[in-house]
Amino acid sequence: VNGDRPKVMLVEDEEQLRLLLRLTLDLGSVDIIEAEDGETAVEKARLEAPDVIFLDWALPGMTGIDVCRELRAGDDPATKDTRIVMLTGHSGDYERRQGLDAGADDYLTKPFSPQQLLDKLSELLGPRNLLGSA
Amino acid sequence: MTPRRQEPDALRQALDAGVYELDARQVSGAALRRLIVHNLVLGDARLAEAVARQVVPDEEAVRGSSGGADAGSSNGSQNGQPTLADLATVQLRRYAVDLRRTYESNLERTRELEERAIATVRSLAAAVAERDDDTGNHIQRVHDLGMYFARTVCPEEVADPELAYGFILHDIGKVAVPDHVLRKPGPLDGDEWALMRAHPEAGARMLDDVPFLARAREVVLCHHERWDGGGYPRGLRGEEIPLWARMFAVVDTVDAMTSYRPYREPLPLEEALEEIERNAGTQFDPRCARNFLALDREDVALRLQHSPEFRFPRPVAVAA
Repeated sequence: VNGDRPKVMLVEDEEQLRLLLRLTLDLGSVDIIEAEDGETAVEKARLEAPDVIFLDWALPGMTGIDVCRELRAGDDPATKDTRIVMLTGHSGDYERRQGLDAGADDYLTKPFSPQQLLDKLSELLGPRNLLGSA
Repeated sequence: MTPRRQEPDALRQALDAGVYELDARQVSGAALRRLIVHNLVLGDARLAEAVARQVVPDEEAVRGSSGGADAGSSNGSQNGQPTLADLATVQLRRYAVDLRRTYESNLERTRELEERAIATVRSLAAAVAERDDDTGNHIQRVHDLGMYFARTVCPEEVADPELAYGFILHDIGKVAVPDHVLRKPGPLDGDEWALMRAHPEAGARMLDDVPFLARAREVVLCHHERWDGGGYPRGLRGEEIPLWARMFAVVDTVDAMTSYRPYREPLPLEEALEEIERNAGTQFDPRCARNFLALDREDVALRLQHSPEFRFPRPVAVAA
């Protein structure tokens, strides 16, 4: 993460929820990139190389699963180390497995709390290096 | 016939005017959700609760309505049955309330972190004080006088904790000055001066990788620069020198002149002030000098008192 703030992408089509999630992630001292649909998400992810993506499952058009597959297909260096977290509406095994099969690293089941989102974020970003060097 | 939906702005105005009784059927779902987000998380909590109570069905009401309970006030519901939009709104509302609490506890944590930062800064200042007997009191005095002075020069920045940090840490680089120079009981010779003059850069280096001290670092680096360009280490002139450092140069000099040195008696405050006046526009920023001379003499003298009790300065302003 070379000294800069980690980049986090937020893919959620519902405007107000996206705003709430963004306000939550603001507490995590990260730079936030937003996308409201799958196509934009793929495009921005390849451009910005985010460290983490929070990806809504139920997007209109290209779904979260599609986005996940697309980013995991091929070997784009921009997204090969990106951790993908699916935001699912169900906690069922089927959804979970489908997400993981598509290349997701983790998932959060809606409804989750702001603290759960922040915990997931710090879990994925890992511990900080206190001396700030590599 | 569908009732006319109120625009969010109109709704907002009504709420601002204290009209908490709303007809839910006149508020569109999107406007409602926008209000929830802005009020519950960012705005007036009391207002937000009122909005939430009045127009958003709470979870129990939505659940209960499927059992026949009256959910007539729920937005968008038909025949008393909750819609998916109702459920989404309930979840959104719960999330927003939760987020507000998260923000509040985060504020607490921020204050705690600020306290830790202050403790860290004070321990750095203590490191210089350990090397130089007089410095502890000097730090206290220039901090107190500097903060008092800043209220007249840059009142909008007094709440920035970095201002106080800069004053407290200005001489941090002196830990790198050898004892035979730092503690010499007489005037310094040429080589000794060279060693002494390295302290602003040494101090700045120590703070190179500390983002929360970036502006404090400027005071450390630039407090011996002169308005006319004749100072050190870089010979900056005029407004190239950061304001905080220009301000601090006056304060530091006044304290130095009115302090005891092994080789001379302290100067009376009046004479020190005349010296500031004489050097306005050469050594000092003329505006800073003028502002300093306009300060209440008794208030200045009070802050220059050499307290027999040693205590480390404690920044008063802690921005939330």
